[in-house]
Amino acid sequence: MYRWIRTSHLVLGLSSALFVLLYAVSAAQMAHRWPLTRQVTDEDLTLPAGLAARPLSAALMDHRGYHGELRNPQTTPAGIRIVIARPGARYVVNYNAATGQAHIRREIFGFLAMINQLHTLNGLHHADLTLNAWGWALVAFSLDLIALGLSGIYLWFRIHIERAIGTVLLAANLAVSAGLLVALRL
Amino acid sequence: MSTPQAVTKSQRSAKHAVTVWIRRLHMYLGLLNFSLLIVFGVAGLAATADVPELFSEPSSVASHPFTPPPNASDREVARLIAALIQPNHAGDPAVRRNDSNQLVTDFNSINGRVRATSFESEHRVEVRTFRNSIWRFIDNAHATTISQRKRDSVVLAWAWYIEFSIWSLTLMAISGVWLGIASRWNSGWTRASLAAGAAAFLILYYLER
Repeated sequence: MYRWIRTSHLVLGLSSALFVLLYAVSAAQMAHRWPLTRQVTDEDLTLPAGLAARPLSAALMDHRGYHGELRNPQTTPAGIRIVIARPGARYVVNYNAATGQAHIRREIFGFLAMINQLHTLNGLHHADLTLNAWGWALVAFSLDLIALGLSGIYLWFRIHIERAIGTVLLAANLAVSAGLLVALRL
Repeated sequence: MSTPQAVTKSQRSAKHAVTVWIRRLHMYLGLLNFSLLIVFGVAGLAATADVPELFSEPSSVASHPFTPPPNASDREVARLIAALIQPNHAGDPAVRRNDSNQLVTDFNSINGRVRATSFESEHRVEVRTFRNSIWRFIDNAHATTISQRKRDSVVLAWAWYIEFSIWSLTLMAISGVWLGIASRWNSGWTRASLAAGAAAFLILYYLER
């Protein structure tokens, strides 16, 4: 039992180490408001006239290689404004339905901006399969954190010489967090 | 003069001592952050399950006598309403007017939303409290950071605990990798899990890019 849990803790911890770092660094970015960078370029394209939002995004994805999720289609006086987004990039498309002219603002996110987007990406029902893949990774990572916490407690408890100080630390953790969570919920 | 064997033995001994201390640090941080690991894990699952933000029906409705000062701006009135009803743990209110031109002040907090609607002609304010589920509460709790400064002391204390946890997790990930490599590098599990985790992460990162 002990060997099995120790190996599981090792495997879960090592396989998720980079994910833990991504979530921790992006959380620090959000907490301290470290500036996010993005590279912005503009482009004008001529597309077929009279497209609706979904055919417009399909045309851009199929013929221009954009990938991501269609978000927030809006009607404008001249046509449509859509956003195609994924964690690493965002395309803001202003499309003139009468002429087929499209002005595209392409934003490529820097490292911190991208991990910020990844931190908040969740769900398993996106149109883009790569976004669903990250959603599944989040499910696995969440279960992994819970399993790491529980197995870590078991492994600590088996080290007899660490029980006294460990009990104090664990009791402090449980008392402070439970106390604060109850006070927050009131 | 020390022989090469003695130097190697001394280096091994120093590495072992460092590993023992890193294991201790890893364990102590884990114990101090056990509940936060559970909170973060549950928050990830709650976000995936797309639990609704709020219950659609208010958990309570109350009415208080209230007459706004005739020369006050909407934001000043919102501050007076905040002082009157004192919503728990809320930050700055969101102020707007509804279709009937009544002043609506939303106080969002970790627990959901308190909505105060001012009925000026009736000299009262109606307060509807919309609670969220425990799952959304945990999701909000995990997202509470020290960047939200205009909160009460309980929220700030929790935010500092989250801050401690963020840096603890960073240290635990680094120390965990060290421990795996330093003490169990000969195990196939160590190499396979490190390689599989790194590969999965890099492939996903590349795909999302």
